[in-house]
Amino acid sequence: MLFVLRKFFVSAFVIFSFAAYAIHERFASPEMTLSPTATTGDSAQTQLVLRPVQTMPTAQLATATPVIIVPASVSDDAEDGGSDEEQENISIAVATDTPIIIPTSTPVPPADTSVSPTDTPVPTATRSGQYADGEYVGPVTDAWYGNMQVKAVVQNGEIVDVQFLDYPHDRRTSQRINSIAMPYLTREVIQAQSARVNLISGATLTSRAFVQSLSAALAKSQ
Amino acid sequence: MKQTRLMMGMPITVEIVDTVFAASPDKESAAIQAVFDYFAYVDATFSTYKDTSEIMRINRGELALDDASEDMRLIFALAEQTKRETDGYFDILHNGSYDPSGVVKGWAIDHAAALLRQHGFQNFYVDAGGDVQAAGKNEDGENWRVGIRNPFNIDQIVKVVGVSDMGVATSGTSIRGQHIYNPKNSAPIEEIVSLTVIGANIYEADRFATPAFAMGREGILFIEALAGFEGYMIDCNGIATLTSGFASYTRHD
Repeated sequence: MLFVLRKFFVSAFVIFSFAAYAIHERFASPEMTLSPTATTGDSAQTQLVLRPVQTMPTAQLATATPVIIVPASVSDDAEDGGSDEEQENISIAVATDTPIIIPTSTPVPPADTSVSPTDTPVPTATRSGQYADGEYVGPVTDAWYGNMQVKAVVQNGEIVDVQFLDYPHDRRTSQRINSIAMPYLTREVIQAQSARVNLISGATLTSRAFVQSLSAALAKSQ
Repeated sequence: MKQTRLMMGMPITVEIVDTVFAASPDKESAAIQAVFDYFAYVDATFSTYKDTSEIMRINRGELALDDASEDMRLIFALAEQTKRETDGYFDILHNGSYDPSGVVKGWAIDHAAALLRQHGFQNFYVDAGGDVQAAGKNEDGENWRVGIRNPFNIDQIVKVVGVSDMGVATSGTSIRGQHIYNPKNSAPIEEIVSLTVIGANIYEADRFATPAFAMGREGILFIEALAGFEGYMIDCNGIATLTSGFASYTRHD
């Protein structure tokens, strides 16, 4: 009787442990490994306090440690059965000798500061620009998964700054890192930089919603 | 002097920091105006949003390519060359009509930079919707500092590169609205959200950024294999992959 009872408890323990492990792997794997810190959320919010929308917590993207991702194996058939759960594991090797250590304490929104410094020397000649001086807020436009709204700042008839008042900022949450391994190229988790820049490269400014909102803002100045 | 205009469906910014002509802002103004006039010409010729453009006359069958302008024939030749070099991942033919904007943009920025040099300037950049030709040095005498925008939070930059006399182009999904398709199966590119390419000039960087982005995860390997180009790819999980020489451009100060 005691033997049967012990066998029952041991079996229950094994089954429970396996289930708990499977659930943990299922829900905790990629997201947890990509967002180990929550250090920059506060500073990002205080910097963007003038904005009508909350910015995406930078903690989701930011971590001070460059990592090398080594996908364990292809898991296309992950939905076929529970036994595949372990294959979705992602092993992360911390590259301790990588010199890329960047402080995350002050992510500066570059669009407001570095791109269009307000102390840019403006020609004294009263060249009649295209637009009347002032700040013009464009309408909210549909940017596919969210809204886009921009503000144009015009000084001496020229656009000196374009600010984002609203934009889609939640990202797909549960996409998994998968398949193709690129072992010989360095990988890292992206993170906000505080370094100063002269200008910014990115595909954002050609989006339809951006151009719609900016065009409408500028139309008010003409 | 720095000026921005909204043209060709994007903000175009020109900044000149040469000190030689500092006493003559009129000269800078004139040169920048010449650049904007040039972009206006490019727009009038190649815009697929303008019914009167030369490219739309070709698309409607009103104008044969052989009778088209010299610039138009050049652009078609450059597009064909790029298509060959990218194994068909670059194609200006979509749904039976031509849209050469994938080569026109970088080509036009490159020409605009040449225009500024003709006016005697050496330290400037031309930025058209986030694709950049940087010439000489910035105001502080260092290489131009180009930030790579965070595709998930456009108020942030995630990398800073220092470049001089080079081009930087970023191809990507525009705030979640997919705008680049794999020409081989018309499937939207979802796994990769941003690919930045640094090249000897913006024309070269831009014409390879678009097809490399369309290749998905393989795109960064394509850039890695190209001599003289470096790339920075960001995937949908916020993981970046760098080509082996990219770190030589990154700035941490």
